[in-house]
Amino acid sequence: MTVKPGELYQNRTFSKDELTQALHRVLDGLPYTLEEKVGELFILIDGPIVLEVCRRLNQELKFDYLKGLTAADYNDYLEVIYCLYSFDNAYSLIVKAKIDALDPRVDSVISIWTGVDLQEREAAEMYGIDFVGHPNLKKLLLEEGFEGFPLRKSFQLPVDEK
Amino acid sequence: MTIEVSDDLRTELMEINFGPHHPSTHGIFRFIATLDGEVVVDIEPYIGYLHRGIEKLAENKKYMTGFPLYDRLDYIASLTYELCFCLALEKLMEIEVPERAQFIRVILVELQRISTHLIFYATTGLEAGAYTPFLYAFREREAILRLLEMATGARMTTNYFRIGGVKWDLPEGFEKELRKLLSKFPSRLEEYDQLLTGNEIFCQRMKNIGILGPEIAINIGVSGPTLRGSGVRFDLRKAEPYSGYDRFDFDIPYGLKGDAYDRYLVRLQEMRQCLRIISQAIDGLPGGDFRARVPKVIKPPAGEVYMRTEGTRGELGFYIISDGSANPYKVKIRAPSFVNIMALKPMVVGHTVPDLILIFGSIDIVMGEIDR
Repeated sequence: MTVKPGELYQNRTFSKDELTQALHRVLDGLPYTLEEKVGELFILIDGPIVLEVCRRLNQELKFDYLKGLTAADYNDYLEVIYCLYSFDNAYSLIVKAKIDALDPRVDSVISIWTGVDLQEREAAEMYGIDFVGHPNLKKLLLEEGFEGFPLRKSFQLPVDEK
Repeated sequence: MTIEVSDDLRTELMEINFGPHHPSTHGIFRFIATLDGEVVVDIEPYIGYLHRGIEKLAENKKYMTGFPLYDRLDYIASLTYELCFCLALEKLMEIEVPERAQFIRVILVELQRISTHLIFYATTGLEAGAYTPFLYAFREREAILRLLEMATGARMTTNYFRIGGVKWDLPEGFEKELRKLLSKFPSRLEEYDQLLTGNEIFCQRMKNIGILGPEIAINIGVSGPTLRGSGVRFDLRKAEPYSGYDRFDFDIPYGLKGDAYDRYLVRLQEMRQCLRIISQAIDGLPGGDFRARVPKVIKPPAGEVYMRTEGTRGELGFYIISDGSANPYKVKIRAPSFVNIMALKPMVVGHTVPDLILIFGSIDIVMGEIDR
């Protein structure tokens, strides 16, 4: 997209119904579920198609801004969560990708949103997720040699003696 | 005098370590710059020196027991984090916040926005070699902190907002003190402009360095004054109004070029807009309750929510997953500085080391929220 300096970005160019229709059109042929909760749109997918879904959303629906990337641990599976925003049509969207807890790997989206670098590294060390295609997936916040993945539910904090 | 250097004469690249305690790194931030002579060719940030595991700690505490932790993220703008956390839970629990509480929140958050922008102003001056602005900015910041102490009981780690409102009502005499500040602040802003904004040396140093184009800024995920400095006129207070911001009349300052000077100007102009918001809010401060009736133990329904607000440094978000119990299942803090530092590399490559310090300062980071 090209940005004209000073242009105000808050106008919706189409309604929510049109957005869901567009989403169905763009994601045609891929397995996904679309749902709406607390005013937010969620797309639930499986891990292996993350890159394809993100690329289509980015290129065809102009979701050009990644608000944030994180993950969540549900014991038997993990979820990688992508919060997207489009400056062009002022819509937000949350993509949740389910991945296996024993072999947690997902394609890196760094080729689409370059700023995701540190966020993927953080999710990698906190949840032990392998972001395939990330060029530099080393430890970020934790010290060298730290064992375990702190934000997994199985990781227990040391209990106070008192 | 220039020295002719033939093209096939290669100089050895040199790696230089900055920090973690270098005074210009605004906290314990470390980066390794690869230099060709004095020109930066690559830069890599190393963070985590202030990591306290707040996201994990929050999972092990009740919603409000973990609340003071969020004050320790951006320790010089703690109320912005409190506000975002409260809004996220209020969205999840569908709580209506009384108007008076919304106005009080806006007044205090905007005061804090001014005070953090003053720190930016002060440190930018220091980095450019001007010491005086620092003293002037901290004089006004002190007045703001005194107001915050009056209202919340603390200067920095305020712990004042609550789900559904605020902890207690504004104290007697607060309005009078605030109006005193509002009346003298515009002349102080002029002083700042005279000291630094129009200063020839400062302009020479700040202009045309660290240029960040709007498209690349959006692609990286940059937000806040750094994004607006690049010409993207986007402010969450306008785009997705929360806490009654749609009732106030204010402008969104933006830059044209995207250099360090534009980012500086955006923040200085934002202080003026903050004053406009505060004076409208104090004039129209409604009566009534300062807190809605909410249960003592916060137990949001199972579900998840992402709430984002315009923090002082950019998009500040909380992603909260609730499983219906009294502890959050997951709290993810989307800190603006954490994403904004990714813009450092495209900004500094090709500039010299003294410029690197200024460019880095112009992103305006705080380590507490980067490391969390």
